[in-house]
This record gives sequence, C-alpha cells and structure tokens, in this order.
Amino acid sequence: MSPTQSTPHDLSRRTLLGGGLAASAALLAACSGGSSTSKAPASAFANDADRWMQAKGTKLTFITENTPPSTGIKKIVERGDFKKLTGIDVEVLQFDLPVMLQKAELDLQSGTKAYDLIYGQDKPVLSALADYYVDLKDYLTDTSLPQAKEGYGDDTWLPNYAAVADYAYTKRTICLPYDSADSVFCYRRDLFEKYGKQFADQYGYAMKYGPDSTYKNVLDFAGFFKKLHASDSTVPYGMGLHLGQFAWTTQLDVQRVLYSHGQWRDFEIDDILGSKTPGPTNWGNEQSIKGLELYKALYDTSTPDALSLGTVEVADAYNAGKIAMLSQFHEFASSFEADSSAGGGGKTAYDVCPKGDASYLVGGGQLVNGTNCGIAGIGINSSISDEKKRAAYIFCVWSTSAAVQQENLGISGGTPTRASVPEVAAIKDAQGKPYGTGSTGRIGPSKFPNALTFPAITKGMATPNAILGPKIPKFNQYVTIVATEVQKLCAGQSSPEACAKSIKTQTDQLNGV
Amino acid sequence: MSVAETAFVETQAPAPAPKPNKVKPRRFLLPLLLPAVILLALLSIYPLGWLIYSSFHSVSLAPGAPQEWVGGDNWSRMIKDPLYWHSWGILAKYSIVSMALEVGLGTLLAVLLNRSKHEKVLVTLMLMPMMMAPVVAGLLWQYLYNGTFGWYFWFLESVGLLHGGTILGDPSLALWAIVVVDVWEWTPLVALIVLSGLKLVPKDQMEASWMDGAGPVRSFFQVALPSIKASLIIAVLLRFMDNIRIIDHFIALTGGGPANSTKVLPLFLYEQSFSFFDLGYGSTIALTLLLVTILLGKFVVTSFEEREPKRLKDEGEVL
Repeated sequence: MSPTQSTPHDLSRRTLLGGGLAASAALLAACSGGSSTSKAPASAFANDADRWMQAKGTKLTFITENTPPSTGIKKIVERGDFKKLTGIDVEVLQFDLPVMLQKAELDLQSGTKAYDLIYGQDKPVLSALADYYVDLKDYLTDTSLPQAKEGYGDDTWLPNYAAVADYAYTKRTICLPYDSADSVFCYRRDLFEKYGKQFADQYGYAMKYGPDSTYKNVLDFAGFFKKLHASDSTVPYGMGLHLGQFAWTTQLDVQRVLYSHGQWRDFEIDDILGSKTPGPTNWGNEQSIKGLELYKALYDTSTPDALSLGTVEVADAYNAGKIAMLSQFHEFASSFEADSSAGGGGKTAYDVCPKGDASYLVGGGQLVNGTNCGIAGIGINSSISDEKKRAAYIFCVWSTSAAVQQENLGISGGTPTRASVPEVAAIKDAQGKPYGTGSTGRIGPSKFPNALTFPAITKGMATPNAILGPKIPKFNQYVTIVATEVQKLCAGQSSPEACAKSIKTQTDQLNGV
Repeated sequence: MSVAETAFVETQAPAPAPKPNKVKPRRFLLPLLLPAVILLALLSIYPLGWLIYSSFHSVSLAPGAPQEWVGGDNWSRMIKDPLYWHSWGILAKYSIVSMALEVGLGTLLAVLLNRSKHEKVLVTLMLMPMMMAPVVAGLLWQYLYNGTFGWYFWFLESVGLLHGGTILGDPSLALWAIVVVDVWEWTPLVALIVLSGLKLVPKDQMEASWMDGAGPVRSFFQVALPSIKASLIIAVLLRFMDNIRIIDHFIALTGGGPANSTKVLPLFLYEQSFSFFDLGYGSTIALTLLLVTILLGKFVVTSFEEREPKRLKDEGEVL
C-alpha cells in the first residue's frame, strides 16, 4: 500500500496527529506558566488549533540525513499532515551524513540561514556545531506554543536518548531526540540450528546466543563458520565488520568491542556533555591493545573484502548470505527481514551485542554488553528570526511526538525515540517471538521489523551497557584517525600495539595534548 | 579608365593622402580591458589572494569573525605531516600510470580506428564512457567491483584471478582498480585527439613509405608519429592536468581507503578543507598543489614550444 493511500487506520492516526497533540497542548498550557520566548500570551489563542496554526504561512527548510526515519517524515510531510495542522510549509532535504554535515556546517558557521531545522546526529554533527543551535529550554515550557503530550523528561524517551541528543558541552537543550541507530547483534539462527551439533562436538558447548554470550563465544562461532566455508563455499563467512568508507561507524565498531571489556572509554570525559578539552586519550593503554587483538581476530573470520565493507555494504553482504553474524544498527532489521535477504523471513535473530570476555579483560573492570549508538536530535538554527524559530519549534514537537513516530515506523521502518512507542499494543505485538538464551532475543516475522530489536536496544542502551561518547570538537578528525589505523591493523600493516599507540599519538596531537 | 580621364586625374591637384588613423588605441585600452580584468580578478586573482592569506591564518567562516594570524604554522605543519607526503606519492603514482596507459592505449585505438571502415560508428561508441560524469563512473565501477554483487568481481574470481580476495578492500590493489576506471573513462579522449592528428598525416608520405617497403609499424613510427606529436602533447597535457586534480573517482570508490592507500592529495585537501573545515591548512595544501600543477603544465607546454620551432625549421630545410 502506498503511504499516501488512506485507510480507517490512517484516519484515526491522523486524527491523533492533528487533534491529539493539540488537545495535549491545551492541557500543558493550562498547567504551565509563561515563558521568555512567548510572543503572545497563551490566552491570545482561542483554541488549541490556533496554537498550532500561529505560524501559518511560514516556510521552513529542514536538512537531514537520507535514512529511513527522515524518508518517512518527508513522506508524512509531503502528504500534507503537518501543513493541515499548522499551515506551515516544510521542505525536507536529505543527504548522506557527511554531505549533510558539510552543508549544515557551511550554513551555520557563515550565518547564511539556508536551513531552519538541522538534523543533529549526536557526535558527528553536535560535536562540531552545538554552539549554533537554539537553546530549546524556554520553548519547552512556553504555554503559547503547542507541546507534546508525552512531555520531554528523560523517562519519556528511550534510555539515554535525551542524554545523548539534547546536549553538547553545556546544559543547553539543543535538540529533541528524533531518530536513532543503536547497535544490536544479528545472526543467522537457521545456520546456528543447522550446524549447532557439529559446533558442540568441536567446541564442547551449545551454539546458542544470548545476553551472556561473550566475544570469545562469538569468535568461536565466527571461526567455526569460516572453517566450514573453506570446505563448502555456500556456508557464509563468520563476522561482519564496519570497515569501509564511513570512519564513524568503524570507530563505533571497535568502540563497542573495547567498551565491553572494563567499560573502556576513548577519553576520561563526561560522555553526555562531552568536552572541548578532552585531554589525553586512553588509546595505547593495555586494554585498548587487548581489545584490538580481539577485533583483529574477529576480522580474520570475516569476508576477504571486509575492508571495503562499510555499514551499508556489510548489510548487503549479510543479505547476500556472505556472512553469518554482525553487530548492526537496528534500523537495518527492515532490510534483513525482507524476503529477498538470505536471513529474511525469520531466519535472523536479534539480540543485545556480545558481552566482554574475561580472557580479553585487563585489570578488574566490569564485563558488559557494549552498545553504542547514533542518536540524532532535531534542532533549530540560532541565526533565523524569532518568528521562524517558533515555527521551527512547532515542527520539532510534531516530528518527535509518539504519534508521528508510530506512523513513521509503519511507513519507512523508522526508529522511534519515544519510550511509549514500543509499548503501543500493535508495536508490542510486532516484537516477534523470544529466541536465544536470554529474554532479549527475538525472531520475526514481524509487521514492523525494527520492532524485533526493541527488547535488545532497551537493554543495550541502558546503563551499564551503553557507551554514549565521545563528544569532542574534533570528533570527525578523531574517528578518521581511528578508522585509518584500524584498517592498517586489519590489512596486516601494523600490530595491535602499534595501532593503539599510533592512534594515541595522533589523537593527542590533534587535541593539543 | 580612358587616357583622357587618366590625364584629367593626373592634372588635378593631388588628392590629399588619407589621414592616418589618429585614434590612439591606448585611449580605449583601459575601458575595453577593464570588464575582462574585473572578471578575471573575481574569478582567479581574488581567490588566489585569499588562498595565500588563508594559508597564514586560522580561518573562521563566521562573517566578521577575526581570522587569527598563525604565521608559518600551517606551512611547517604541512611539511611535517607524513600524510601530506604520502598523498603526493599516491598522486604521482596514479597520475603517471594512468597517463601512460591512456596515451598508449588511446594512440593504439586511434590507429585502429583510422584504418577501420566503421570509424564513425566506433568513435561514437567509444566516446560513451567519456560522456559520463566522473562521479557517476565511479559509482558504476563501485558496483562492478563490489565483492557481494559486482560483475567484475564475480568474473575475476571465476577465472581465478582474485582467489577469493577483494578489489577495493585490498590496499595493494585499490589504487590500480581506480587507475582502470580512469583509463576506461579517458582513453577515448586521447584516442579522439590522436585520431584528429592522424587525419592530418600526409597520405602521400604514408603511401611513399609503404612503396618503400615499410610495414605498418615502421610507417607509424617513422611517418605518422612525428606528425601527431603535437596532438600527443596536447593529450598528455590535458590528462595530466585532469589527473593531478582528480577527486571524483576516489570519493565514489574508496574515499581514500583502505588504510589511506588511495588518499591522493586532492582528496586529502578536500578532507582537511570541507570535512574538517581546517581552511587555513587546506589553503596551504591547495597552494602547493596549484604551484606544482602550474610548473608541470608549463614544463609540458615549453617542451612542446621547443619542439615546434625545431620541427618547422626542419621542414623548412627540407623544402
């Protein structure tokens, strides 16, 4: 069905989109006080519809990434839902993240005001551009503006989402959580079942995965598949990694392995706020070297072309049946569940990322299921006029509301940020059947495939498993250094120790340490 | 004119000689040149000045923001930066190999086409890769090389050349894979230029060489090649200028990886300037790239100019 076709289901949801939010705004308006951003007193609006309509005729431009959540928002906007509710025209421009960042950076730094609303991917974008976003604090309590009925407290979002997306360097609220990409472990459960006995005979334990499975277990599984592949090319290789062109996801791929062992972190800074002076990096210490040894071992089980596979390409490789398992961002569940995918139709199981293994731990830290993320917020360009800021805020509220996110999940396989969305009955039903050795594994089929990952991300993104940072001003340079050196390690051009120390030297130099 | 008329004309007072054009061209020199000079200044002199200025500053994009004077910091940083020199090395390897292959293959192609009955159709077909935007060509080849569903990857693996390996994921292969793309896209341009040169080779000279018993190879080297030297130098100059500024194929195919094995200088410059917005450092790198391009371009043109008078002189002596 085309997203533009209307069904009774859609109509009821649209009623919610158009009316429910307005009603909740009235409630909030009645309970809240005034605000420094108020252009007009709350009483100036005859009813809630007026509150939504106060910026009628305004035109806004929203620059964002070309991922499914924004594609879904674009579709909802283009079919007129937002215009009907507010009278505001919004143009949604989508680009690859590096291009989007480049355009946003040029616009925000030069004050050109080409974009009113800016997608704020937590680390790549906010680390560099935090100072150019409007502080939303006053808007959030402004009774003359429409507000989300869910509110904006930390518990109204999925775990740690607000912490990651709202702030950078100061306690200014610069974004509202808009979409997310959290890492989950995806594996071919059909192959685990098929070769389980053979594996158990060789390794002496069951080939089953769950939250207590460690990276050592994953290494065993992956090595087992690689050996099978040597004698039977129809069996996939072992582990898929994110080593291709996109430096950030390579850094994330390594980071979650390292964090699982003693919660190793890139810098000794507060990961929620980040720091403009991060100080010396932890790269080069013993744990980082041990972690790189493990990463290299995982690489050795992967496809020979692993160095050319970025996040998208490694998903293609999984869909083509070239690899048996990988840590991947949960938005990819939609493509993994497609009938055309080798792991489609319920053959893929989703669970929390692997736990650290004692054999790779240096010292006495905690072993956790290291999970990292890219949580993107939506924020407002601080250079635009006050009138436009108010209009832009209305779009922020609307696009991050639970109702719109629920709608988006059905349209594009969106990635909701609101805690209430996974609790909606229809979405709960879509979370599939439990699978594996713990409570977080799920298998499809599912009406909303991304929902299969919700139990895993709820556990993975909570403390102590979530690794949120680092937000540092030269984040994009930093991840480029990490990715390049890790590629050299995997290509056999350096040892784990040389790799860790080279990252340390370059990073400290970069940060003026 | 009759004799009488002539006499009449002759008896007339001599007509005043036409006045020499007293309009001094210098009067109009400035107004005529000014628009072009302004345009040139806007298009190249101002950016060049800004580039030099930026290379001594830490540059902020914010309007009115002070640009911090950093003296020679950007320059000393560049000289000490191993990645900068590494990028030059990759660029040199890439440019020299691509250009040599393109000129060699392009010339061969032109000779074959020149002798073909179906020259027009073949030329049209041959030009198709050249019509493609380089970034599109890069994306196309990225799909062809893709280890999961790429046709070329599958073919090379099937014939046992890759042994289950990879193309773009191998630091020792990736650069040469991009050279192939460049050769595929731009050899037709060289062929076209050389073909136009071959059309000017005197037919009688070729026929004379054949009559003297020279085979096609000897005729080519002794008769055709000296005549198309100018075309070849133009082809070399064009390809050289393009290759030294190349970025599209690299962005689309590898982004400079794996492990910086394809990070050519223009890509390094782009990354510093527009990914990290370190515009001062980017300007410094850009200046060196510009300087080397100008010097090498000048070298090629000079060698062409030196050959031409010599050739013309030689031809004059023969005549």
